[in-house]
Amino acid sequence: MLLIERPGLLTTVQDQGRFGWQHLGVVHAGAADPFSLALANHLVGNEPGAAALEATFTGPAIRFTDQRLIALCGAGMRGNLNGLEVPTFETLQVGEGDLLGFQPTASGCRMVMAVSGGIVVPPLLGSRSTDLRAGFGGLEGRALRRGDRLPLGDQDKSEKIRIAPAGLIEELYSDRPLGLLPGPESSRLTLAGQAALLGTTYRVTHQSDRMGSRLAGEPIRLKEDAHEISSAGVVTGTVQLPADGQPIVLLADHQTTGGYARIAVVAAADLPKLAQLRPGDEVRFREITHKEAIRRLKTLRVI
Amino acid sequence: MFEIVPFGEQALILRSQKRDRKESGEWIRSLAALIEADPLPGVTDLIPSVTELVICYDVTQTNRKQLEERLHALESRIAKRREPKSAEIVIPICYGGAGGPDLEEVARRVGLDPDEVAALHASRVYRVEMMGFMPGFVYLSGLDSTLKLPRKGTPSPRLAAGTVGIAGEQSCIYPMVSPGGWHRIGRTPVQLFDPVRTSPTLLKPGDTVTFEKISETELRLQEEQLRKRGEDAAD
Repeated sequence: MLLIERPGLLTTVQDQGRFGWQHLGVVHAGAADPFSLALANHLVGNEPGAAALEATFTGPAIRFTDQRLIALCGAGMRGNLNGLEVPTFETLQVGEGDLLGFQPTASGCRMVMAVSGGIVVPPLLGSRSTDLRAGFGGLEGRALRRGDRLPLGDQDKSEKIRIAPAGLIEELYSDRPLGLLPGPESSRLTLAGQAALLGTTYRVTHQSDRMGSRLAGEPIRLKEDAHEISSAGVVTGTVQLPADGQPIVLLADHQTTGGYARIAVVAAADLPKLAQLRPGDEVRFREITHKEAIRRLKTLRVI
Repeated sequence: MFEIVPFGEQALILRSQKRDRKESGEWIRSLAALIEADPLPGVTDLIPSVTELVICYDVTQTNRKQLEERLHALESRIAKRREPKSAEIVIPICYGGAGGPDLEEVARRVGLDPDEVAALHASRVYRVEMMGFMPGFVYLSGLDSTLKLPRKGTPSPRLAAGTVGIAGEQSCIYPMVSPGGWHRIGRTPVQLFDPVRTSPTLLKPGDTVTFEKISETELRLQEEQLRKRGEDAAD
């Protein structure tokens, strides 16, 4: 069991998300960085889709009640066990009574904590992810609170210690522009709009959350100011362009459909970086090919 | 018959080439039904709208080229297929009052009595064109054109669960509390979304909806009944 002594700013139970229900308006949810989740699960001997905790900015304080393997993957905070700093991206052993805490760091904002056996709250619609907006899933459809107790599943007793390959961490978080693939409405971009999108720097605003990051910078103009579309499906990573010309990049909790022009899609391999954007961070974009996007995606999935 | 456009590396879009909105929606839903009945390997989600079908897939199980080939192979089958028989749902609605605070304003703007607006709304047969925005939220086509009004410039901060709204050529129902720009004309006691059920939404794309007028007393009674049933189920 996990005993939550301090909940942190926004800590939720997440797995790989809900598949197969979007036609009914049910959002995908799941870890904002699904690769870190899969990696953390791998490090503790879980299936890639086992439920874990996603902490945001200020992490929780968690007491363990038995021996487990845990792993911390992400950024934005440093972990400590009983007051002593522990590494991220490595298998860690914890015992009964151990206390895991976090301190925020200067960059990044989301950390996944996986535990051997996984968090086994009841699944709903095929997933243990928390749908914060609709208020279901995870633990009672909400962020963790002090006093919460989370049940853990049976663990694989092999106790194998693993370390994530250094190259992989670099691949996840290296300082680089975000790769863009064309969106269904990218032909609406004016030349100036394209130049702005691909050649200037945008800043992450405070209006950013698990649904998406609102960016601020050079306004992006569309031909005939055609910012609206008849409501249609969107995917994580979609860059939407409302009338103010300021792009929005969609994250895990995005609504299934939207009425803004979809001018580009961020490469899935750049989701880990997207998930770590904090207000004030600078973002640049560059075009990539479908082939490159697939290649990079497959690199991240080879765990 | 359709155009296929990539949407990132894990999704693609089928675009209907039908000009008529009603025909386009039906065609998209027929296609979605065909795929659901005979699942394509690797497809994880379908998001139908009026002119498009977004198809999400797992790149470890399939790829864009393979999917495109399979979709083109379906083309001939779609031509023969009619939209599958859908459910016909009657939704009880209490017009105006606390549940429909915008009814009088709507009436004023279209030059009718509130009762006439309610009667016009309830007289039509609607179709669930698509779902989105939140789980169980339905976009209903078929609103009488007399009632056509643009969405509110400033959204209402809080619409109660069960609020029935109108905007443009559509009507909608809010499954849960939310801000929103639709004009609130009434309220239904029925639950539109329950994640615990095998079929979590009352309505699905393609379903037919009609509204049945109930009184405020009846609304409260039905809400009470549903609440009790929910409590009993939880025990």
